[in-house]
Amino acid sequence: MKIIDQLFNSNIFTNKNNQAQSSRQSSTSMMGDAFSALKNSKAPGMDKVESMLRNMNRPVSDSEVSSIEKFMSDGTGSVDSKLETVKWAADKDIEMTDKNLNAIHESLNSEMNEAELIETLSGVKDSGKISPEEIVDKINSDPTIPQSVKDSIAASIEEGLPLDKAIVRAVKNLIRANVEVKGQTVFIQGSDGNENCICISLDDLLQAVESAFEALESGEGVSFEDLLKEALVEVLGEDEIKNLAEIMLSDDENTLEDVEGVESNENEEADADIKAFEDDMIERLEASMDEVMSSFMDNSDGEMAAAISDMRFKTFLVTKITAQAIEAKKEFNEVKKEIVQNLRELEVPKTPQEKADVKEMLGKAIEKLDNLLMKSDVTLFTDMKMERDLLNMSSTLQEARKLLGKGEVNQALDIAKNVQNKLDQMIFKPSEKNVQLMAFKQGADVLNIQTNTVPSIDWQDASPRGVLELFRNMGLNHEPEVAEKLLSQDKSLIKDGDYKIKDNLKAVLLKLMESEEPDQRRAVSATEKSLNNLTGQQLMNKLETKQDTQTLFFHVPVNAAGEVKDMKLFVNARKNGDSIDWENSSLYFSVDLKKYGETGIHIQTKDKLLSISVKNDNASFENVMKPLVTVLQKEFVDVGFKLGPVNFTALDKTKSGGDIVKMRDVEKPTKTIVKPTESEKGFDFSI
Amino acid sequence: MKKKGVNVYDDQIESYAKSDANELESLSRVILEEAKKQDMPVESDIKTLKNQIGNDIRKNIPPQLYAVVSGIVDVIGRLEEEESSEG
Repeated sequence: MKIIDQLFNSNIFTNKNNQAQSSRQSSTSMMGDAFSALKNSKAPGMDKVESMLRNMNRPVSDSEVSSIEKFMSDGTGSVDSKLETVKWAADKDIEMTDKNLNAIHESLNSEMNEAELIETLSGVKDSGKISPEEIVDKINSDPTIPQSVKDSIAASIEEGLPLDKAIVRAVKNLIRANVEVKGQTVFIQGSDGNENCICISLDDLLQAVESAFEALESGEGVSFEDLLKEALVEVLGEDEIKNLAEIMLSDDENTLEDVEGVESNENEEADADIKAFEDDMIERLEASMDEVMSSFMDNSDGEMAAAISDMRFKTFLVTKITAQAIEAKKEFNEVKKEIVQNLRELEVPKTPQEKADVKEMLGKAIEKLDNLLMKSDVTLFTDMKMERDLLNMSSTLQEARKLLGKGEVNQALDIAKNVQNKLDQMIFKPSEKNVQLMAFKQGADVLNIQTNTVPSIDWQDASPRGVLELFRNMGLNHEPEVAEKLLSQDKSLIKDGDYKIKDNLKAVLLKLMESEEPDQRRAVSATEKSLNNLTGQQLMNKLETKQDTQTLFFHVPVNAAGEVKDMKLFVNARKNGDSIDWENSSLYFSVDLKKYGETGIHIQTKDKLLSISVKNDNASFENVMKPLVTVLQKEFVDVGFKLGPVNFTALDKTKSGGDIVKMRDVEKPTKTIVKPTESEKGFDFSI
Repeated sequence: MKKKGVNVYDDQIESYAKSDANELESLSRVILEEAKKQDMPVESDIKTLKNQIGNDIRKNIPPQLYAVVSGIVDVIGRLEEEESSEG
């Protein structure tokens, strides 16, 4: 208990309190009417909403009043659970619309139900797909498309070919390449015996044709053929430009020039290094592909088997993954070179300006390392050790920056130089497992296999980047990434390789919602439920600019022992610039284990000192958990945390209700030290 | 050169995030319209969308915290596997 007392006495929580009070004082005069409207309502619990919002100093508009009223009377669950939802919205400064309240409520009170999701997804699997009929109509009615292409479609239809295959034949005529379909996979190859072959799923090819038409309609003024090539590059990824240009020899001068211009800049030594890396990658991939291929074969029917056993399929995968790995290596080398160079030039600053420059330089290096970890393909390939080492460097440079601020210049420089040496010796090496995993994903994409439509994280593959990828696969980062794509002036500057917007769960569900076919009403309501759950998480993960303390909520579906467990995660942390402060944060995990039952794990960091508190009622749990916690502590130290205390206690059973309530009960002993006003702000786990 | 496009986004989002709610709403409208044009499915309620677009979890949450989560996922997996192997 002592530890928790200490932690809750820490300024994380007192800050929050002060902040809440000061903002309350600032604009008390603004309200009045809106609050009385809440009080006058007859819906259950509205008096509580009124006093809560009044205490939080969160005035509400008329439309918000009616949304809250509707939510309090029609929403499922207890008044308290609904109050909780309103509190989240108020705390995050989110408009209390019907949709926002329902989304937050769904997320807080429902499981990410795997079985339900699978049913939803399989029930409406084909909706939202591109309609071949529409494409055929467009081809036929477009005056710029050569008559011979239209004739070929007509002939194909007469032969009894399905429409999608007829379109493939038309594409073949248009791009004058050798195009062949096996199962759901299209093989595109140069017609002059050129060996390069691109594989693409039939759906993706249709998608490319469709977007080419859209571009044509929006008057982009080039020929359909060129637009189709652009669309293919969009679907296939930038790294296929060169291949595509070689296959479609007709206008290689345009596209080839670009690619070669970039590549010839490398110096000879680096070239040799990359060449050796390429050979090694190909060799390793060839050796490990059998396993990937046989796992495809296990799940295939006759048509798909034909595509899998086509040698060009395997070659395509090997080439594609090798090219991606080379790109990742180059990116790693570039960032490494830059950071090492900058750190090498570090000298003891003599003036305040020089000191500020050093700080800025360290800041940039940290940002580059974090980007490498979170945004590049590098950590999709590397093993756990390298990922942790990179993380450790980011943490260490942050320490150096802090020491510099405190005037401990020599020590700051020492540890920065230490990072320089470590990074200088680091060599990018993809792990066997990740390479296979990427080949498998790429292959499944091309074969049009729906793998893992319900995202979860396999505990054996758990890595920091893996957790981020899980959230992205769920679609929790969907809107920011769509915005990023749309706002970027030059589309080719955004990398396509690692993430396809269409692949995340949220995007799939949004598509399903668009196709509102009446016979799918039940499926639509299940879709809505799942979508609300994801949207609610997004809303609760929003960083609120006006507050120093941030609270976030996630569902973490963990794949273990053949099942997906929905683990819930609350984060409570200080804000540090644009992001939350990992050195001062609090993470609560709640999960119901098969054998040991309800379990709460509380990780708290204060100035990087990390303490672990485990709550469980099973008598043998502590003995089982202790060695695991020891391993965990070592991992945390490896990435930059300091070792703090560990304790085991029982869950508090005095309250009933969902896990969230129970999770908060974990902190019950601290209740006495928390000032009553704090509970008005909520989410501090001390209620 | 590669990062230029990303920065355009970062700058825009950042400046909007610091600005008032109305501007964030107009940016959301632009994004919604553009997304429709390009047939990208995206949240269609402006009052929801504006709370999502600036919230990139690759930036808002530092990698160190992802490391904590992945450590816990590993422990939970081990506990579950241990249970199932014992029957």
